[in-house]
Amino acid sequence: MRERLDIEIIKREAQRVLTVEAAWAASEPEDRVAFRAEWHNQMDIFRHLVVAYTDGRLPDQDMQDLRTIAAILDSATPTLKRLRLRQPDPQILVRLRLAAAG
Amino acid sequence: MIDPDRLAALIQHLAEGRRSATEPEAVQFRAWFAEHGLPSDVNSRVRLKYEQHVLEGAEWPNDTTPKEYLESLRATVRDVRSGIYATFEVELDDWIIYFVGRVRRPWRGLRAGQRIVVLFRRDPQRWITGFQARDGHVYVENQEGSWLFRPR
Repeated sequence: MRERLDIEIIKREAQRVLTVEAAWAASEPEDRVAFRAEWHNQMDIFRHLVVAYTDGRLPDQDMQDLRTIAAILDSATPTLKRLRLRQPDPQILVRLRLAAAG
Repeated sequence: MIDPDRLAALIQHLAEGRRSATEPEAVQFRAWFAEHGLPSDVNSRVRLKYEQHVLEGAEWPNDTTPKEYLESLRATVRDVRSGIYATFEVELDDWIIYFVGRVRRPWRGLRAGQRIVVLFRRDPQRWITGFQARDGHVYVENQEGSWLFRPR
């Protein structure tokens, strides 16, 4: 239940990163700091999900969704760098991408 | 109550020197940020963060009200066991202060974290956000700052 919720929320936040950049410069500085701090927490949660994935503790649908999230994060990497947002471990993204392809 | 300019100067002095606050200094920080850093009542920013971390994020129970969310943050700032951490934010050219406290049982939602973190800007002392960090102290210590007051 908790991991399902984690996946839904991280998927939404990852998609949001792709759109947040357009309004980034016009946003309040405190809002940018808040987003950065909150995003860092999301990446901690993402890491826990990857451990659950690796341990085989996620149902098939969650595993598939986690691979989708990894693909979104991979495509968002340039944005994450520009906005100085924490990036996921690139090796994890590669591993999930290969699993999706295989 | 400490003067806000003096408070800002003291935090800067401690954070730059990576020094710890004394107990009386920590008491002053808690009192100021609890009463003046956080909004006195629910406003648009509280509602925004409430929707994000309670209604959508499920970090608090879903029957938590905006007022209860705000007061849980205030209680965290006031709690003498809570830690106080400072990290420099280049974009603001200023220090960010984290109050880091326990998640009490009535505040534990489906996606509760190990610690509540409440963030403020040093000067002016504006509230930034309040949420539950899944990894607690590990999350805080990854922010590349230092403890002004270690959690008890």
